[in-house]
Amino acid sequence: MLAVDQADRYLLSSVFPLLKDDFGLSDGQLGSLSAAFLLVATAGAVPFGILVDRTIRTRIAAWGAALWSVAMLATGLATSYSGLFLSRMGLGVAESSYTPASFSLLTDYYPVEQRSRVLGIYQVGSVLGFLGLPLGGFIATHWGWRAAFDLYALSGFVVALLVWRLREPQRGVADGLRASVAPTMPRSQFSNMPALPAFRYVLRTTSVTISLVTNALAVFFASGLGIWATTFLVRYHDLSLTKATLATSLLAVGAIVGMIWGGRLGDRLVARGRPAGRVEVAAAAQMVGVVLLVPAFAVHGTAAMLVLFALGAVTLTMPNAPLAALRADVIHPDLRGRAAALQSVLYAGAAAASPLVIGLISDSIGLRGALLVVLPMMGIGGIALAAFGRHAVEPDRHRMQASLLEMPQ
Amino acid sequence: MKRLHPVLFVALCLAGMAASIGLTVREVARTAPIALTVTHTSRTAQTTVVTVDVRNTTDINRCVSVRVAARDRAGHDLAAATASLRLALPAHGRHSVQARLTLTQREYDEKLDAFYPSQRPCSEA
Repeated sequence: MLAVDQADRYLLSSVFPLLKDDFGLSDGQLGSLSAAFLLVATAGAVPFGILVDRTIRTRIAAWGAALWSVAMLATGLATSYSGLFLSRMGLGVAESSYTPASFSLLTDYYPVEQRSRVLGIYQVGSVLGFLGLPLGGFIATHWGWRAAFDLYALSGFVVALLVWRLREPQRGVADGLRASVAPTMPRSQFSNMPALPAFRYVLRTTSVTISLVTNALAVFFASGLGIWATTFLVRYHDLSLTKATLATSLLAVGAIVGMIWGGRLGDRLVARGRPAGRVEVAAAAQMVGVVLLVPAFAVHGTAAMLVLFALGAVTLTMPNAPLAALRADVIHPDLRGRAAALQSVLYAGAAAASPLVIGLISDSIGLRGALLVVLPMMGIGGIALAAFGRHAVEPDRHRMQASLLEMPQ
Repeated sequence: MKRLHPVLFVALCLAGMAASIGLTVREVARTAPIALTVTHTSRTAQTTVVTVDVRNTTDINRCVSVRVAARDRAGHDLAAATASLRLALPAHGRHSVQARLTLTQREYDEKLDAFYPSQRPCSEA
């Protein structure tokens, strides 16, 4: 679902040149199409997070997938800029529904000891979605951009039907403290808690707040690097654009390895009796990432740079799955949709601001300097995570488990 | 109501799938009558010459205006030029045209993604 969604999401930007010709759009209008989607998707995560905690999650995710496919068809049928704009807003609404739903569902489908690994595998979908873009480009080039949107919509409808058939798991049973009960069981005090107190409660959970903020620093750097890496390679290593783009794909390969390894390692440490194992993996990855990437950006030899770059890329995504699993470990099952919504808003903000901030610093001191200035933030996040996050895990987990046992059986 | 919900959902998805396939087939059938392919580029100083192969895939004579744009990855135009204002193409005929675009070295090295040829019928150009 994530892979299909990501492919749908980025298809628009890959056909920008064709849209520009068809509709005579200005650069500002093209940019506003992406901005409309991002704004609606980010804002929509909050209400959907609340809904996810109160209703049947598989239904929300399935309707989300169906509606985003309708929005894809609407994009393909658009005959004006306003039509394109509205369809992208529709896609944003639909997309914001499934992130909280899928996070909450996965944490209830799999037991605690597999949580980090499963979330890592899930996140690989975001990279796989990019692999579908060349197909979209091929279709658009040969049969027009409308055909690409029409065909991509088909995959969304298929996914929607598959998601509809998924079993709605019992909330909290995968946490191992409760026996499976009837689906009509009464819900906890958290399920109908008003939005503001619920978000406040989530943010008062120390390990959640620390993991969100420190991981956002890693997301901030990784997003900026994703945008600027090609330019860096062209500017400082004299690679042609084609070779630089190919070299940047190392980042995608490293990202996939990091997502899977990070998840597995987090689960393994917890299984070996290290309750804060997920935090330790994430903190170590963020610190090692700085150690690998500082020389990667500083060296002049291209071969050495590419090796360090690929290894560093692994560490960029390594913290994501263990920290997502950690948040599920310490957040009550009836609050996980809202916790995922907070994560969506924070990470979207970090990802949106990063290219701009790096670009502005680059204008003053050059791109190499800008990357070297921003990179240590990720390491500082890692240090903060190790210093404060590790000790917060156990108390937070006990508090969650106590609230889980209070749930009516 | 409990039964209506899944019926509505499945109906929406099946209708959507049918529409996806139908619209894709329609678009493929409406493939542009004029096919444009960038066959060669050469660069001297700040001028890049882009050669475009223009092919009429239909059974009727056509007249088109051909334009080439140099675009970055975000789809922004770095430069654009008209390769031919009025190009007459016989049925199933082909012709090569050239456009000259001015790009700074930095634009060419760091920003340029690809050259995009486009065409319009002579009456619209």
